Amino acid sequence: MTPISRTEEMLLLMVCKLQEDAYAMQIREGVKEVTGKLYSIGGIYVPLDRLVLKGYLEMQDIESTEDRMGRPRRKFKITGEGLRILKETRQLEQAMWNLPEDVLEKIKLV
Amino acid sequence: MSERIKIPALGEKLLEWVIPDNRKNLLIGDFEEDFIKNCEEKGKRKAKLLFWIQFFASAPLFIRQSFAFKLLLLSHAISISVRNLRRHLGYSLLNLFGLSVGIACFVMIILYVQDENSYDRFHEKSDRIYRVLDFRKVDGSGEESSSAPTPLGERMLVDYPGQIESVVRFFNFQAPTLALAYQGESTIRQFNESRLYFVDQSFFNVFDFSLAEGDPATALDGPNKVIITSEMAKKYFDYDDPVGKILRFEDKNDFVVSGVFDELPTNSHLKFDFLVSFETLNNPDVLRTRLRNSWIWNPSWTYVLLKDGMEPSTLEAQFPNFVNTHFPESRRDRVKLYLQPLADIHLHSKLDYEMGPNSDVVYIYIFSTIAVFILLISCINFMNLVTARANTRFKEIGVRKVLGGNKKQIISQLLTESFFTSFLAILLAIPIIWLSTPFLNELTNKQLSFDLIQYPTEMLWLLIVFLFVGLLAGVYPAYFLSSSQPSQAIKGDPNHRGTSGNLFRKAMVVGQFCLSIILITGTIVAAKQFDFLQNRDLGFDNDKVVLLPTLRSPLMDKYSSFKQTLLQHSNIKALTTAEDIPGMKYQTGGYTPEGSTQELQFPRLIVHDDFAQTMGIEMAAGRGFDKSHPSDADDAIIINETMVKMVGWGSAEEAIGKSFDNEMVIGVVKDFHFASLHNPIGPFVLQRVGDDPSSLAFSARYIAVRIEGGSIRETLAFIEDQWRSFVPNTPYEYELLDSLLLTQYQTEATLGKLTWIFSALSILIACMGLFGLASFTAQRRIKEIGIRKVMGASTSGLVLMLSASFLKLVAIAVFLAWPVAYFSLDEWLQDFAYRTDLDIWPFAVSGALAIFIVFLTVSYHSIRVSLINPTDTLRDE
Repeated sequence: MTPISRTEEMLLLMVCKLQEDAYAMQIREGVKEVTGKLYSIGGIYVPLDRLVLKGYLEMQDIESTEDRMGRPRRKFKITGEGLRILKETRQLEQAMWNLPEDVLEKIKLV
Repeated sequence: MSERIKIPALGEKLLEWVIPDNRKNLLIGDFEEDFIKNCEEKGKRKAKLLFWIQFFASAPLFIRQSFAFKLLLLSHAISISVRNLRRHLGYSLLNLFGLSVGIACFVMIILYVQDENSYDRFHEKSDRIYRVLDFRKVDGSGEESSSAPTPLGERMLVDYPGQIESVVRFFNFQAPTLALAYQGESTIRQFNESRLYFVDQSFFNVFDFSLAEGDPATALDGPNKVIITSEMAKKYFDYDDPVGKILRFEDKNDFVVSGVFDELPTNSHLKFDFLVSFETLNNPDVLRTRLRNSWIWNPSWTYVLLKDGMEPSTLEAQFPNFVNTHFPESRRDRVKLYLQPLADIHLHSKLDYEMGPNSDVVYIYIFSTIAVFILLISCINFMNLVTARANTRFKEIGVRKVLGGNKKQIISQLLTESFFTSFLAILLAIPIIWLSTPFLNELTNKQLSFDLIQYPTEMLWLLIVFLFVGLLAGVYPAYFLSSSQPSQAIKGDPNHRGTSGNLFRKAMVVGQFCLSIILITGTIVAAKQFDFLQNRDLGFDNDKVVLLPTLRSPLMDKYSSFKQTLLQHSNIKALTTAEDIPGMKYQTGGYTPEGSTQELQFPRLIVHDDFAQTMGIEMAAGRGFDKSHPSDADDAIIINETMVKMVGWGSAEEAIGKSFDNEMVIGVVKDFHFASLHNPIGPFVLQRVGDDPSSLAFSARYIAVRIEGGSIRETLAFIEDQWRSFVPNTPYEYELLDSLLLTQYQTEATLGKLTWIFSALSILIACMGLFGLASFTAQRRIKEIGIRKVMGASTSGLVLMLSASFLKLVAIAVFLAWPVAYFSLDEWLQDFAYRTDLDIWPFAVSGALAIFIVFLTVSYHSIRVSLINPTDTLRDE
């Protein structure tokens, strides 16, 4: 398995979280809320496009909605492959975090 | 939510401009969504600010993406272009080759024109350097001299210190050649040098010529120093450490070599082999003091360097005053001084006593026109072939349209194709240019080179050609093909297949041949004019005369015994001296004819006895100078018939005995061409040179010898032997008058050859295009021809029918070209005082030639198609 980056992990999770609302602008908002980092409008597509290319996301252009002057918006949806990589990532992290209690206490991580 | 909330209009424009096509709407939508949301939450002002922040944060990314997207489209378009080229490989290559040859011609002509225009501009101060001209004319007759009196230069520097920074004079006695010799340890090398000048020390302050050896600050400082070119260093010293060696001048004065020039630029009107320090002339042995200080004799080419910011007109305005102060009383009424910009000399100067032959700006115009003509002809080829192939392309374009390709995309595809072809053509043209520049150099006597690394401006020219050809050749086909209706395009409906395209193509073919026919007619007329100049009766017999350059030669001390000795040879019929080359150059003098109070300025030659006899000039009345009248030197004069008419003496006989400047008219010669045929015959004076050695040495530039019968070579050898026994230390040289006179038409000869080549190429290129076009037309009518054959049409009838459509076009072209050619050639011929008639022959020949060549070109396809068995073409219907 090729590990995915933190950003990719976060974006995949954001798409899952937003579900029917997973449009690019909403994902950008969500990222800002969680991390405080605001992507530029063009910039948010760069990692999203990459995830689509890797097959973890699929996209769909939704025709005009009233609040966008009749311009389409792009909706993202997680694929099976995407879900699988998320699960694997989670397992990996849990495995890594699985440190003995005394070690955690000793280095004051808890 | 208000409908009116919208991102700033400028922002929207900019976004549309930078975002790649494929996600334009999507992203602008996102911007809008963000903007509206910000408006609601933070107010409009803040939202606008945020919008611009967002815009600038995203723009670099968008631009990068756009570029990548465009590149993708371009590579796609190029791969389609390659497929299209390969589909008709033969014709594509033909087309490409024609275009390359056209581009190569264009670039080479540009190289030539650029070189001509670059003359004398390489001096850093060239825009401040002017030549002083000395015009001496009375009633429109007289001289327009490019050289000025010798003391004028130093005087101007004294009189106008605020305006003139420096003065450089070039002086060579206006002698055709001067003798130099080097006495080596075991060898003597002596030659007559024609490019030796005495120049002022300021030479290096004014002009940018560099020395390979020697110091420019001191090389011309003080008398008897000479700087030589590297060719001369080889000629005299075999490059063997020339600086410090001695060159003996006219067997009398020793000059020390003080420097050697680097290779001299060829684009300079100043052409020299030796430069001697001007101070040398202060030695009366070299130049008599009276001549050194003469304001009447004007042999010095004088260049002034104006101070920064000085206007030449301000200085010129003071010249009348200068003339009145310094020139002798008798010359003040006629001398007018002018300043001529250095850079104008090569192309615009046609004055008397030029240092060397100049070019003419007319040729620049002619060549530039030819260059554009050829490029146009080859572009039209491309255009025609693309539109003619339209039927194969229509389907492709129809499918593109049906699949949602818009007009813009189709246009960009077609333009990409034409630019791609243009690019290939340029790649192919570069080796053609490399291969043919030596040939062009041979013809034009230049050293042109097409070096893209050394001269980046040539890269710019290629770029201009690339854009020009790509655009010109692509715009019409793109417009024509993209505006078709998809349904018609796919069906290939012949009725809509482009009648307008057909008309356009026809118009283009007419245009091409029009240009070619103009060029061919021009070539024929130029050849005819050249032939006319060469064969015109000059009024004297130039083909049996040999000239020996003798100015300042010690031989002149022994002229009469030399003459006696030569005349003993049976083939030498007559002998005289001449002040300049008869039929080419002359001097002028001031004369007052009887009945006139004013001294007028006339062309003249000072000659010795038997001039008319030597040159084969007929006398209209009276006698020529001869040895039975030794006093002729003081009191006799001979004039020509035009002079008789001008003064108003009725007839030649009446003129005899009239006084002319206190001298008596003893003879009238029939008019002969004493100058080149560019000038009409004007009034002319012959005077006899005095017999004293100093007059002879000064006024006899040449000894002219008339040789008749026997072997010329044997007679010349005899003359050389005699020369060597009379003056063993003076190099011997001779010129044949007829070949010397031909050099006057050198520019016409070169022009003739070049136009011949380029017009031949133009018609070749035009025919290449027509060949392709004819094949497509024949192909399209292949079924029609099948049916005609079945119905009983003969092969010859079919060939005629197919060729006729093209011949009609060429016939139209012929009729359009004739008037244009007529008027422009008439204009060109006006430059010549003696010109060939502009009769019907050149026009008839060029028209017939064009029609004949076109017939040959198209009949190949016509015959091929007519011979096909109709069953082959009609079988599947």
